Amino acid sequence: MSIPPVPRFWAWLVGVAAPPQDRDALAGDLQERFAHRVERRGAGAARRWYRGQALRLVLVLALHRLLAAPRGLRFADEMRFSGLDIRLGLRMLVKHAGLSLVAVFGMAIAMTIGIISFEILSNLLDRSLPVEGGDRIDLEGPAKRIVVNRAFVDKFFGGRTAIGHRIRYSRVQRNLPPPEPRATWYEIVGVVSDFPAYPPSGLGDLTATVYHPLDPATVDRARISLRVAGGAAASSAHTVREVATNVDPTLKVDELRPLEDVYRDERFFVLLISRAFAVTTLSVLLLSGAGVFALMSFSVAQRSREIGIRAALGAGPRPILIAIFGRVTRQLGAGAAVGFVLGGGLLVGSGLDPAQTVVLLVASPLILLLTGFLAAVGPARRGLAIQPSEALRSE
Amino acid sequence: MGRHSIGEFEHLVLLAVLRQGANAYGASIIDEIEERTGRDVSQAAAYLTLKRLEAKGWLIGRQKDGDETRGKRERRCFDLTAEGRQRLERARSELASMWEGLAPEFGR
Repeated sequence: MSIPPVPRFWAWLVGVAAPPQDRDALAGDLQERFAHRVERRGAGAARRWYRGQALRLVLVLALHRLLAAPRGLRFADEMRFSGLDIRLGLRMLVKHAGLSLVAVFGMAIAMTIGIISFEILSNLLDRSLPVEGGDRIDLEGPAKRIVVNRAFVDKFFGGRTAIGHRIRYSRVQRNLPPPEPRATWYEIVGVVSDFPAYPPSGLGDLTATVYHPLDPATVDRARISLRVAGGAAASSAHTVREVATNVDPTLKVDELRPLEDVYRDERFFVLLISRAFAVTTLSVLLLSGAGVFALMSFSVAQRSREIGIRAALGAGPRPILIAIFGRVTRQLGAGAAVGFVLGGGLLVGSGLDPAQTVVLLVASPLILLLTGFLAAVGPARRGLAIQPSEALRSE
Repeated sequence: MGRHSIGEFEHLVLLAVLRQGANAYGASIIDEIEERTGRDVSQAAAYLTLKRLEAKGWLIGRQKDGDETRGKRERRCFDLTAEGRQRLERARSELASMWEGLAPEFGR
């Protein structure tokens, strides 16, 4: 009976995870047992068994190396903060204090700038309506009637029924109807679908909006947004004028424009600012990445002798890479921690939504850490290419 | 558990090596345990236990050439050291002492 080959991917994975001195023995044992399984239970069952065994083996080997490896050039030691690491770190800080400070504070400043720019942009675009206690019901006194949109209901009533509730404004807004808006209670009598607001608020159209009845006695001009079935066409303007004339022959309709044109004009400034912030943030990220890249190149060049000795003593590429990236992680982590604290301090009491705050505080360090890791790939590859003899010759 | 205590699975592995002699290796040790105990033994558990017993000095390992069944890959064969034999003997006497008067029906 011919024995089918073992699953190639899993065999490769075992080869990668196993220590070099045990690689052949482990792969051979698995192959031998696989062959016995094929004879006794068939090829399909044997393949399933092999995948299970290989998966367990890879996980156990990884955990074992991480947690229980003896001291030496092993994974667990490279990734662990030990007293020696701290002493070496302090020595490097003293030896190259300027460079280390630039790296750490560069990360911190980059994060802080990123967070501040997000905060400003968010406050600029996401002004909340000045409504307080929107769910309170006041049975006394006359209440004026208003209609709100779906976004308003979602924001202030959590999607529950809003009709019948009364609200009042907590502070004066420019476009509120007179008189004494703060003392006036408004009863919600209807809910309409979300419709682009005017003037546009933010980049989205899902702004919580309150619609007041129009009093012809107090208004001499008004803007009306119309949704036309099938999209606005040239004939729409004629129809609108005709309808207006039928309602009131003295009503003058002018400046009929597609809403998207109005929005484009209104949003030009906001889009300009947001693009400027995006470019600034990107520049900061790029500068930060360039700084980390330079730092890592310098750091690896400084460690070429150590890398050469490790290679000469038989250390494979993996422990060396782990050593290089372990240091990157510590340096970037220190910068990210400082930036996290500074940015977190700035965001406390900023009025940002807690979920947005968490996203910002997590996303910014992640982006910068990723940038740092990507920046370290090149120097790490160059470090591996250093010949032991060459490294031993260097100062 | 002190450094010289024997775990249950370590005990089984040492006995399997003792049964097979100097040519015991990973796959044969696992087969021996599976056949005699009916357990499913994973390669990972056997590998870690053999490494641990070797580190304790109870087993000694050496490389041997492999055959076609294992794709010509070498075997790592194990044999008991004098310390391993001594520890196994002590474990047997400890267990025998604990079982004395109880076997076979667990009555007093």
